Amino acid sequence: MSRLSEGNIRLAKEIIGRYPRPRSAMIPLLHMAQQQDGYITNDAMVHIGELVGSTSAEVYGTASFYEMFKFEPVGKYLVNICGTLSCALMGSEELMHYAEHKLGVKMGGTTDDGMFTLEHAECQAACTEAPCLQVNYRYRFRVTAADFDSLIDDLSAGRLVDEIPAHGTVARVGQHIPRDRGVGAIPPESVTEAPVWLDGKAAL
Amino acid sequence: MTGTYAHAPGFIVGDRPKIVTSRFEYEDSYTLTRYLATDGYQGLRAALSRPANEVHDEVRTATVLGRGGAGFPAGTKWGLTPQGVYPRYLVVNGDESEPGTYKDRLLMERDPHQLIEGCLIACYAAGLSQCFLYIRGEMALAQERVAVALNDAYAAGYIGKNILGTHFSVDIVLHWGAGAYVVGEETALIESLEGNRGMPRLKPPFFPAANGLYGQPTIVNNVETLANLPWLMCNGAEAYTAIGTKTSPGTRMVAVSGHVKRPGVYEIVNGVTTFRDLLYKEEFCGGIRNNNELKAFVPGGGSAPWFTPDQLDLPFEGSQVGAAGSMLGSGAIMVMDETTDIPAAALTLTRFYAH
Repeated sequence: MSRLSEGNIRLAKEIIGRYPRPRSAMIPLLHMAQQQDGYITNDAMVHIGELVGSTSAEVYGTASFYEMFKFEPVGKYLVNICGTLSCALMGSEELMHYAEHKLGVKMGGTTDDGMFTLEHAECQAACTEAPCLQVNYRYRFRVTAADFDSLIDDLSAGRLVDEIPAHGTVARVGQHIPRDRGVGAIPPESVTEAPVWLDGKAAL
Repeated sequence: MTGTYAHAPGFIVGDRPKIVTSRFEYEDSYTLTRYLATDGYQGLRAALSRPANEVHDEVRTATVLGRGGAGFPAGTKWGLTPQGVYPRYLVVNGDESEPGTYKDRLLMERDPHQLIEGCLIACYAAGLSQCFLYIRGEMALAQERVAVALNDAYAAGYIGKNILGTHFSVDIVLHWGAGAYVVGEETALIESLEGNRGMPRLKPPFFPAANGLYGQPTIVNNVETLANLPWLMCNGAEAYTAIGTKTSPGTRMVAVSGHVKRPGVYEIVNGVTTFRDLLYKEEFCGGIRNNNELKAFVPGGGSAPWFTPDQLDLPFEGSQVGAAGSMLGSGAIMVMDETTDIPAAALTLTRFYAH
């Protein structure tokens, strides 16, 4: 199971329709595939290529540039600990060592039970709350060793399933443009004149 | 326009002007209900009540400086598109990833409608036919808040066809990244939005205003820059330039991290507030932790050359900070006290840029 599901194909077509060029939907569709399977499979890349009019090699060429896309299974929970300056000043290196010890894996490694993958991350834009980490892109701020312990315990016991979805899901809510409200994509070749509201008059 | 809206968002809240963070005090600041209860979408109404070129002139007169790093005035940037070439696009840069910086994330999480309203005003003023709002891939909450806000604003008639019953129609498309620092650079952002690897293009020939998304004239504006526009449309350029200085009007958001007592994101007065005010005053960071001595600070994001205590009395004004050898950049201040191993600190930043 790694081509996009029927439901995802419908959604993929809706997303593609928002862009003047289908290829612009490539990154959103890669996220969709990762949400479906937990990582990006070869079949999914072939399928995305078919949907946006690119070869699977082109899809891989784009996908491989971006760190969030994984091409083999990772843990259910991806734990990214920030190591950039503000976090380094506030003890992120100690936190990383502690996390390696707690989970029994090195940075980049996955626990044997497939629950956790540990990664060193760069700036997560939460610098006043250092040191910080993200679990599947959900923040934890000013993390102490004790905080890390309870986080891992809570995740292991399934106590945070409402807050933190399994790896692959980033945003749990997507955009929906109602059919009767949307303008639709504006492809460059279909437009030669100025927008109608540039008529020198007030619109209201 | 000054004074037209008695409750225009946050002209002065407390003793400091708040232009973009006036709703942050509300728990539900991100909802359409709260936004409308605090004069939300009144700036759009004010804009649509005037011809587009007048709205553009108002933004030009206000000298709204770009908040992404380069500090180029938004009104001037909009004017760089070639005459008569359409369609033109708006790309919103919400890929905030410069070390130490995080104001755009808060603006997206806590007041997404303000950003949406800013996008609509920009599209109206500069004749931009479609807007793509690019949010950094790792910002799950910002993506969710903006998605809900877009859905609510579409349903309420603020986005899409015939906005507020006028002939102004524009879509705002939510787009998001997948992790890559360099994509914050505007030509790399466009590459990524076209479905490519996010590598910067050569400038020239690829100045986005002339040759951007799909080869068309494209305005790339930072989140905070656009978030200023609703207030500006409600209150006018005169009220905007009355805050700050002639060369740096209005306010700006800064994130102070590292060894201060109260790290945080603050809205300060452009050109007036000094680094000393920000680091030591009670209403801001309240001093260095444990009352230690200040050793060094980064004044404007990870790429900016560092300052020492000698430069504390400089105000947040681009040319003065530039003359002193650094830059204001993206509004990130990282503070290091006397206990800091400076070479080790420099190494973490170097590792980031190698990354």
